[in-house]
Amino acid sequence: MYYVCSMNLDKTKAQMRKGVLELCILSIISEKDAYASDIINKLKDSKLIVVEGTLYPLLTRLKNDGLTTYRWEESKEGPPRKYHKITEIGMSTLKDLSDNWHEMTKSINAILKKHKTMQ
Amino acid sequence: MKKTFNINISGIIFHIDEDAYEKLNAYLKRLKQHFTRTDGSEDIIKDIESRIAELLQEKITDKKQVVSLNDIDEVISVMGEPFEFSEENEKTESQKYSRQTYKPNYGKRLYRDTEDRILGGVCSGIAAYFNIDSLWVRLAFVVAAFSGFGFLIYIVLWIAIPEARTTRERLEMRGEEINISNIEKSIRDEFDHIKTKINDLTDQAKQTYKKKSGVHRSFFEEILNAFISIFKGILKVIVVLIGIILVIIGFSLIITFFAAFFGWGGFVIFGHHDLLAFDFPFFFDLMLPGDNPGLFKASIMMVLGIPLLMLLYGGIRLIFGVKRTRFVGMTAFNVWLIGLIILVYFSFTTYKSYRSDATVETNIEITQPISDIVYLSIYNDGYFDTFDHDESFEIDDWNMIITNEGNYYLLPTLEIKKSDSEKFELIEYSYARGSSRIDAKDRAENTEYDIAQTDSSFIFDPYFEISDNLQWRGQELNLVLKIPVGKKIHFANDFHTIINNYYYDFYYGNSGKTFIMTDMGLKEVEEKELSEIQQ
Repeated sequence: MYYVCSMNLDKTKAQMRKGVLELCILSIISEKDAYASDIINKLKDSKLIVVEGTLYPLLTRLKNDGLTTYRWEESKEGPPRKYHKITEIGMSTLKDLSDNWHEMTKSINAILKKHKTMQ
Repeated sequence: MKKTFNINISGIIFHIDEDAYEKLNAYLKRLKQHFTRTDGSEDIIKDIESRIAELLQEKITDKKQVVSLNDIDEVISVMGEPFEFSEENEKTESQKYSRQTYKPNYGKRLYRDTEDRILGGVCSGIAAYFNIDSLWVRLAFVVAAFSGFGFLIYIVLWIAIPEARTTRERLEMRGEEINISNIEKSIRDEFDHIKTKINDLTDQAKQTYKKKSGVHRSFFEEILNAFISIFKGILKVIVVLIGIILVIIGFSLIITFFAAFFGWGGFVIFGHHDLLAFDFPFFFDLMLPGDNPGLFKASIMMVLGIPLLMLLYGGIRLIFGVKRTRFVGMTAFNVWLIGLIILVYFSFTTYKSYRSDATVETNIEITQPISDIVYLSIYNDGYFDTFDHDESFEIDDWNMIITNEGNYYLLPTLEIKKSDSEKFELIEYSYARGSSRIDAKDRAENTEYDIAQTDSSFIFDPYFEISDNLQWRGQELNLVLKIPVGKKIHFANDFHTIINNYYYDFYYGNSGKTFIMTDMGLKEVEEKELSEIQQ
């Protein structure tokens, strides 16, 4: 019998997103120094965040953990922008995390596939 | 025209409408509260503010220079409310926080579950408490309602059990699994709620203060304001006074009502001369169709009791300034309506059970007395005569005495007529109402009444009785004693108890006197004549 409570489903999804968000942010920053709007747009495209407010506490935490730093840049249109830049530790963490991710996805996909063929 | 403020967000100046400003301000406050215990909360807020500035700037053009409420709504929906990102990111922080500062006791508590309710959510709340299906509780209450007490219990519980309003209360109601995320969520909810409330309040206070300290205010305005505030004060006092009066009235009426209803005390009414105690439950049992007195009582309770409860409720609301709770009035009205429908139904069945009537005529065989005079007296059964008539209630039209001990006596009447023949005749007319003629006749035949005759003296029972299994349906017993012309009758001293009041020509004082039957009817025989005759 399939019985899925919608609230728990949402929670599960949120937790999944939460786990990978930091990895995604690190990855985005590692390509090119970025400020919040850039990161938001990329994450939004991939539907990883629902509201922008989610991002800021994460950015701050990454910075506090020493994985990123930032610099201020003047902007023509608006307030000065905070450009985030990945640090050495950040790079190694990113590598660690993405390796882990690939491994995980591989095994998870394998499980899911098995399940599918079973059906 | 609208008032605008100038604000500075992340170093950029915006013109913003007053309402938009308030909304934005409240939003930022919520954010600050949310992040108070997070490391680097200032940075987070600053980042968010600067993003807000950016978003707002996109909305400002040469033509539209002022930030409107609409803009702020859009910005907030893009950024999201604190609770929307709390679950995803703040878990570790809030876990720590909730473990340290709050160790809630999530024992089960009884609440009303208003999200799953028929009336007040009492049943579903109880069901949640015992972890059973609310259907069974409801059924139990319906069954209980038929016994008469169910509704009272329900209403008492409705008043006594608090409604589960907050998430925490809802958790407590179910005694839901005590896991961190449940606790965290409920605490967050509560804290956010309370904090925003307090903040709104302080905001308001500040604003009124600012407004008041504004310079341009005319003398008249000041005076007017003073008057208004005095008037408001007086009004408030009056409202509270009215509330107190309502509570007192409502409370005493409810007490009286229930007391009367359940026979906690006799019900006092004004009798002929005195105050009489009167037993209501007994009266109901006596008068009503026997099918379901419990339901009938419940309906009366609803129809009369609910307005009283609402009176009490209204009073309490006025005194404490309690806000109108939604649906209370509506539910009360619905229950009242249900009560009314039941009452109407019962009135109808009651009416039906009294619809027809029948009279049964019986000739009572008597031995013709030898003497010219017959003596009429009342049988003394040793109880009826000795019970305290002051504590009884007489219904004249029905010839009925109801005592406050829960007994009732049905009084016969006796009419003296001229006999067409040379014989004494005694005829009994018993009358009753009923749902049909047959029913009425059956009831009429089933009255028990005795007259004892020894030669020339007739002893009448003081009251007649209805067979045990039958109910009172307006039974009457009328006796007609036919006296041949020239014969005399003597009424004993207590004879007025069955013959008084009913005939205008026979009053209280005629007891203990002798009469002779003439062609014109009864004529009193003076004591002198009587003794002459006897001699």
